[in-house]
Amino acid sequence: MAVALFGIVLSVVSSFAASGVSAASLGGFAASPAVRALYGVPYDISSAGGFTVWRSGSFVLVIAGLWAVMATTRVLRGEEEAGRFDLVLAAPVGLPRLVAGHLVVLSIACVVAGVAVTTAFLVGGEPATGSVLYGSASSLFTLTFVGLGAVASQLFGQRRRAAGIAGLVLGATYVLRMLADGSEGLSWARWLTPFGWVASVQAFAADRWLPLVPLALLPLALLGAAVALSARRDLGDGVVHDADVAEPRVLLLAGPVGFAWRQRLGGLAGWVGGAAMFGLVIGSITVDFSEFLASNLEMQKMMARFGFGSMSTPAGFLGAMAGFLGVLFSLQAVSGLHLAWADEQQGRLDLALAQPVTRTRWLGAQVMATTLAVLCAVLASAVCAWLGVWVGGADLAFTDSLAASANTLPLVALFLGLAVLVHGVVPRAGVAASGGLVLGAYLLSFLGPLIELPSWLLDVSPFVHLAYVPADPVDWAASAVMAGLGIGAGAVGFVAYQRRDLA
Amino acid sequence: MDDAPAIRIEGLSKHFGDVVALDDLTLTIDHGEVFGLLGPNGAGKSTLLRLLLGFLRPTAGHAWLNGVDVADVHEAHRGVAYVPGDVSLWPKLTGAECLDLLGNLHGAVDAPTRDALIERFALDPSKRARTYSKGNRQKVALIAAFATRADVLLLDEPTSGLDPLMEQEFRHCVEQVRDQGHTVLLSSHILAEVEQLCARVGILRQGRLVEVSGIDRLRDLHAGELEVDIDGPPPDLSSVAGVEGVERTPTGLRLQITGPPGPVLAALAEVDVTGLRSREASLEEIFLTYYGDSS
Repeated sequence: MAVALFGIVLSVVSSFAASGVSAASLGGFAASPAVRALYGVPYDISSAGGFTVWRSGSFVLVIAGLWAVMATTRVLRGEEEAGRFDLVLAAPVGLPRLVAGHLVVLSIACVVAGVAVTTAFLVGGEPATGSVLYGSASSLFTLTFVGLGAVASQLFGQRRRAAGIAGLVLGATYVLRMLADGSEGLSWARWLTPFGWVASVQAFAADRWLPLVPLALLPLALLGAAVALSARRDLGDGVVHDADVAEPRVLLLAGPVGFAWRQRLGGLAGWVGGAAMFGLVIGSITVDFSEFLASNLEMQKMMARFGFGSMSTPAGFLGAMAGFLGVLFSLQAVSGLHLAWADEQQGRLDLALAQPVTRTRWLGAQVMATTLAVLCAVLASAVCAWLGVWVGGADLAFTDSLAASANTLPLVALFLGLAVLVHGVVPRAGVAASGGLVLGAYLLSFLGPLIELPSWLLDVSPFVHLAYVPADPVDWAASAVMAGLGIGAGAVGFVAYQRRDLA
Repeated sequence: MDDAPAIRIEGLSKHFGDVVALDDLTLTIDHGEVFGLLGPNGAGKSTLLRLLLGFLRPTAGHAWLNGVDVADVHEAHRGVAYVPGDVSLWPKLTGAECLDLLGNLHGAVDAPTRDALIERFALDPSKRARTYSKGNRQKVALIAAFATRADVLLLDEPTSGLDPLMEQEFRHCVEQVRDQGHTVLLSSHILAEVEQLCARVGILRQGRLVEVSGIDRLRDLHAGELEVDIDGPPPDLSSVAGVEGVERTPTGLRLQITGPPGPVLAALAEVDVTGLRSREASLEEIFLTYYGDSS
């Protein structure tokens, strides 16, 4: 992870020098509410350091936060769930000490990540104060979410649940940051989130040390709480204990499709909630932004030059946000298919496939249920974006809002197909490979133009080929290619799955 | 199809990279037979069962269940039930829900039979699977398997984790299905279990089937022990048919013999025998001779 952060920061820093974008030309654009909501408040974007913090900062922090949540819940709850803590705890080591030990290792990883960020800025020739400040802030930010993951791992008895809830908190924090940065009336909310604290450091601008205080105190409190909580629970269980005994619910146990759908219901609430929240925020800043653009002809021209098309109408802005939704839905698809591998890897599939159920039928049910879950999230985002625009006082047809969300479906089909291919051919690479493909492709389309990669390389990323629906017409050719590739990859995946050995 | 054997295996091999897990195995098991599969850890027992279930794809060879190629899972599994050695269940489902799901996937489960089995194995089906001990998870799989009334049962160390009382219950269940004319392939480490249930056993070592025989014949093939007390100098018996080893004891000789003891007794008639004790080789000792010298 540290390497990735180093690479992202350094590439943006160095590209800034090369591109020679003038601060003046960016100033108005960057200061507009919607762009602030997307990237954060630009404190000083005339320097490469300040520009990098603004342009890639919140993106880098989200990646770091996600890593922290996933890694921590995996080490602390996943290992315990797999029964590997039992052996360690048979030695004279208490649970709190074991938890504390793992947290020390994870904390060191956070420090390494911070050092990588600082080094990247220094290598890029940026001032030491800002570099150290921003590196420390990123470090402490990551540590905060290690702390959050650690607390969630103590509270909940299952890794999926701990990771899901910690991830939801990360998402909610990010949405709060978007609102705080995007709207003047809510700017006080900047002091509520770790995102806001990192931004308030104003690295390479005012270089303030004060925000590091809450940034250091919160993780310390969380880590302390995690260790304290671990002393108050049984091994294999969480502090929040749910009932061990339940009335049988036979609904959705009738066959592979019903059961696959039942397996996804738990996670569905999170994905749909996330999509709804995102839709609402996008919808509500849409009006603000399109009005700002509509009154500013100069800016319109510049946006066009930046390749953002016509964002002066709500419809146009909504279309430009499709990439984010594409990432969200694709990750949902990838993680949905991951359940199929989890069942296989942990031996649960043996009992199911010993029945007269073919692998093709089983995997087909998993793919079908995953698709249905994605469609639910698509619908939720469309409804909420439409509601958001309506609350903001503008007009947008619901069909337009739906078209904006649904336009990402061929892209999702592509990544779902690739995930099936991975499942069939190299299942052990699993979610890391398929999820990595999604994030990698997005990163390429997001940062590629900034560091001026050749266009043939950019074209590899399917995100580049997303049309700005509904402002622009649907790109049927590109959609057909993406969906076709997805179906092809999926078909190969099915055949490979049918032929390979089960784990 | 009716006259096809319950389980037919022809030249079945499975390689994992360079490792040969199963080497050219041929075996036929008839209807109504309880066949014991024995062998040390890593001998290939689970590999064989997973090949028969179509979970693994053979490197070479073929296998049929009731005359249906094992690759045709949809057809072959209609009459098959399986219990793995380490059962994993969906942690959030209760025992009853797991049984319901497996029953629905199978399609032909008899509910009263299942309820009776829950009773017999003393399972509390209202608890979530994550709270089950290994033994209880094993019970869920056993109940699901016996409730299907499948005519071929593939059992891979099915009693690991069960207490002795439940193990007894398991043996009753196997005897019951055998009496109904169903076929059982039982991989096991518990020799008493195999001795009680199986008429025939196969011994796997390093992926090869080194012995297939009836348990009685297996005994005959292997050394029993004869302790003879003799008054006077002991005779030289090492060249007598059936004698595998001779050992001096303070009072006479200890002989390892295989096959019928007639020739030895005839040879002993010439000396003054004051005492005679014989001990049959236990199944355990027989297996040790197969497991022991791993070359």
